[in-house]
Order: sequence, then structure tokens, then C-alpha cells
Amino acid sequence: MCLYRLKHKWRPPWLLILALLVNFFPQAIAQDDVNNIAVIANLGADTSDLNVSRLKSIFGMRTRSWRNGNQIQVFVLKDNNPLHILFTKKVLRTYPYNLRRIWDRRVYSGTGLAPTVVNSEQEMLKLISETDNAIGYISKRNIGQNVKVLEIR
Amino acid sequence: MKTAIKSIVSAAVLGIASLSSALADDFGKLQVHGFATQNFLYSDHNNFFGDSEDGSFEFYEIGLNGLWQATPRFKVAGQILLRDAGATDDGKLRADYLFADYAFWQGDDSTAGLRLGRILNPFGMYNDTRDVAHTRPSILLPQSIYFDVNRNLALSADGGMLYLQKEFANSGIDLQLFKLKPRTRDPDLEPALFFADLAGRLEGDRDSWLARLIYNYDLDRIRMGLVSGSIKLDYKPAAMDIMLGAGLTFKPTIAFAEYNAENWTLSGEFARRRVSQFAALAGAPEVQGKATGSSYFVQYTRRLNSDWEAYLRYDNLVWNDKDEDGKQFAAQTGLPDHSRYAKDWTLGLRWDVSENLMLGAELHQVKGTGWLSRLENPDPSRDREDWHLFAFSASLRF
Repeated sequence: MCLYRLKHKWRPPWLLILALLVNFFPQAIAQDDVNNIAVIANLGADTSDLNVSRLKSIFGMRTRSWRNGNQIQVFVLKDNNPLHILFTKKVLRTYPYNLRRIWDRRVYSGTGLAPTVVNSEQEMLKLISETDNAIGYISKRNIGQNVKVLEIR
Repeated sequence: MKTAIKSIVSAAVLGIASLSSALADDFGKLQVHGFATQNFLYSDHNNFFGDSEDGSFEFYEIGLNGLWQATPRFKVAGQILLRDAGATDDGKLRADYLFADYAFWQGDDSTAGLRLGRILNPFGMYNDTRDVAHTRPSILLPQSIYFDVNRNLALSADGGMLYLQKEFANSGIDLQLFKLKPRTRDPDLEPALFFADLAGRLEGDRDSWLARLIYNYDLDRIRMGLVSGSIKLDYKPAAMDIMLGAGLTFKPTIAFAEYNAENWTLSGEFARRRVSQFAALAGAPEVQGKATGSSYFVQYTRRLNSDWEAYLRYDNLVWNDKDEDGKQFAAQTGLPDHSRYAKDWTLGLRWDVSENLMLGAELHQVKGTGWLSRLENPDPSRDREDWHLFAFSASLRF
């Protein structure tokens, strides 16, 4: 039926399309307080000189080493994890889809690695404490003893 | 039978991939990723990627890539790909890229290095990952710039590349300078250039280069770039060839930009293509030709929610700016005027079902046949100027 119509002077329904494109589907935005997010690093990581733009560059996988030259190990939660969404929007001031595009471009062009994705905050905490030069983020209520909490200016 | 072989091969590729991916965790410095896309195309007139007038499944891409970070300064990266695209590709396995990368200078906020091997061409906004459906802005890339008929030539080349990456306060630049020898093993390359399939073969000339500068602001909120280069191809005649010699120089200049907001992206690219060609047929004086053509597209992408995306694009191709409507060409060659341009309105929808699975559908309303393959449309008088193309795509990646 549809194919038949294609053969005979099919015209896209431009008005409907326009309505669809302009229509704002409400976005589900996590309402947690940004103050509940902690950026954490391995105790041995040289996290000197860290500000928001450097943090952006680190999570964008463009800045690859700490000031002492050691290679940074980046850990993130899954793209649809509410804490990841919050961290991306409130701390990095970008969007999960955009980070994913940046990482995909690196990975599929063979120019760099993507961050390691972890499944839970518990796993994040464990890996950050055990991995040299690691950085990640976590809810403040889940902070443990064996990582350092970074002050981002 | 062919389908059975295909599924066995893809199962094997994916099997190896998941195994390697499991190993990656142990070694830490090896990352392996892969993707597989199957598309369906249907057109009311004209064929694109198979007999799309009857519905074509002859467009698929299965790829596997790996990156081995041996030391912080040295890495090796490669990708193998199985790809079919109607008559314009052969479904065979090939190495898309395989290069060694040495970062000879690593400063606080900058890196400079050298790549050697088969390297992705720094050509436009999307070329680097053009076969990975998840990274494309649509099922078919805008054909005016990412002309799929000579995809291997456009994708990558053998040579050496110098690169520089520098970070500023809230922005960064990437510069790539690539000296290369073009790849010329696309089935439809010669027909597209000479309007005939000849006995000899085209070879890439080592005297070719490409350069690209990309500027990004605020983690890609704004991303823009410039490309310039010169790609040379030489025709090597066969014994008893009617074509005694021929060559082509392609000098592209491309500018592109995109703006990424939370719920929408606006992107566009403009290319000016300067082509000079000569051909010497047996018993005829040498013919020389020069033409400048233009391409551009503008795309608006709207994220409806975290899983759904809709997009609208206008893509315009003109083979010769001095003969935009193709009338002169038609008068000289007897071939259709509409084969010299294409104006393509595309409307599409993308659904990211899960992290790994993506489905897409798009509709093209096209005026002109400028980016059709002659191999798939052998009789020019049958081509229709006004036509529609529907594409459906299912893609997996890890």
C-alpha cells in the first residue's frame, strides 16, 4: 500500500513534519542537587591544577595525562545513568549524547581510547581506589575512605 | 547460499570480537570495538545500492576495530570491514585503516605526533567514521560531499601524517597534514570518471595531500573545520588499450560547522571541488578539461527525548558551477542534463533502542541523478530526474 503510493506522486507531509520537528517533547531531567556529586580520584593521582575546563578536556578524552605526565584513567557510568546525566550537565556543562559522540569519533577512527564504563557507583568507587591515575565521580553519600574528593574551581 | 555465507562470516566476526573484548579487560591497553549494519533501500525510480527499485538489501557494513596503546606515546590502530553497496562495492573484506602512531611531543596541553600506514583521510566532518552507522547523522551520508560511489578512495589512503592537538582554556584545535597515495580499487571509480569501464587501471599518485584544521569550543558545543588538498590519479593503460593515457587532479576545499545544543544540533558543510582531467584516446587529439563544482548541505537534528531523534536535511550537488542545470553537458554528450546535479531533501527518524542497537528510517526526495552510480543505472535514458528513496537501517555496535 505504502509502496504503491510512493510510485504515484508521493509528497512528504511537510506540515506534519514541521510540527514534529518543532514540537518540544519534555525532557526528563534529574532534579538531584548538583552538590551531591563528588569528582573522585585515586589517592596517588597528581590532580594539581584542576579546573572545570581541564576536567571537561579530561572527560572529553583530549587531555590524557596528569601534570606529572602519568596517563589518566577515566571511568564513567552508563550514558543513561541519572548520576552520569547529572554529572555531564551540571559539572561538565554538556550532554551525554555529546560526550558519546566525542568518544565514538575517537574510538571508531582509531585515534584514542574511550573511558571505561562501570555499572554501579560501588564498582566506580572500587575501581578508582584500585586503579593508579584514575578519575571518576560518585554521589557524595557513597564516598569511601580510599579515594580523594576533588575540589573543582 | 550467499546469505548463509554472510551470516556465518558475520557471526564469526562478532564471535572473535566479543572474545577480544573480553580479553581487553585483562590487558587493559587493548580496546576492541565492532559494528554491523543491515540496510534496506527502496526507490520509486533509479537504483541506489542494489536494485532498489525492487527493494534492496545489498547495503551492509560489518566492521571490527582495535587499538593497542603499547606505551603512553605509541599505539597501533586498525579496522577491517566487510561492506557491500550494490554494484559500487563488492562485499569483500578489506583493511580500512591500519597505522602506527607515535606521539613524539607531549606537552601539558598539547600533543604532536606522526602516523604511518593506511590512515583515514582528514576529509570533512564525517569521513573518519563514515561506515559506523551510530556515528552518522543519517543512514546515508549527504552524497554531495560523501559521495559513496568512490568510498574507498574517499575513506583512507596509504602515507604519513603529522598531527597536532592543542588545548586552550575552553577550546581546542586539531591539525592534520597527510601526504598520501590514494586508493583506487572502487568498482565504480573508472566509470564515474570516464563514463566507461576501461581495460587499464587507475593508480593513485604519491604526490597527493590533504590537510584539515578543526576548532572546537566548549567540548564541541561549537565545532568547525577547514579542509584543503590535492588528490591525483593516473591512468595506467593496458596492452592494446584504446585509452593511451589519462589523469585527474581533484582539489577540494571544504568548510564545516556544527552547533550542539541539548535538544538540537545544526550542522552544515560546504565544499568546492576543482577537478582537472586529461585523456588521450588512440587516434584522437588529447582532451583536457577543467571544472569546478560545489556541494553543500544543512541539517537540523532534533532530539525528541534521550532515545529518539528526527532530522531534516537539504543536500545540494552541482558537478560544474558553470553548467548548473547540465544543459551544456547534455548538448555535448547526449547524456541527461539531470545527471549533473542533485537536490536531496531528507527526512529521517532514529531510535536508539538500547546502548547497542539502533534503528533508523529516512526518506529522500531527490531532483537530479548526480550521485547515482552508472554501474547500477547502465542506461542513462531510463534515469528519472524526480525520484524518491526510502532507507531503513538496523545497526548493532559494541
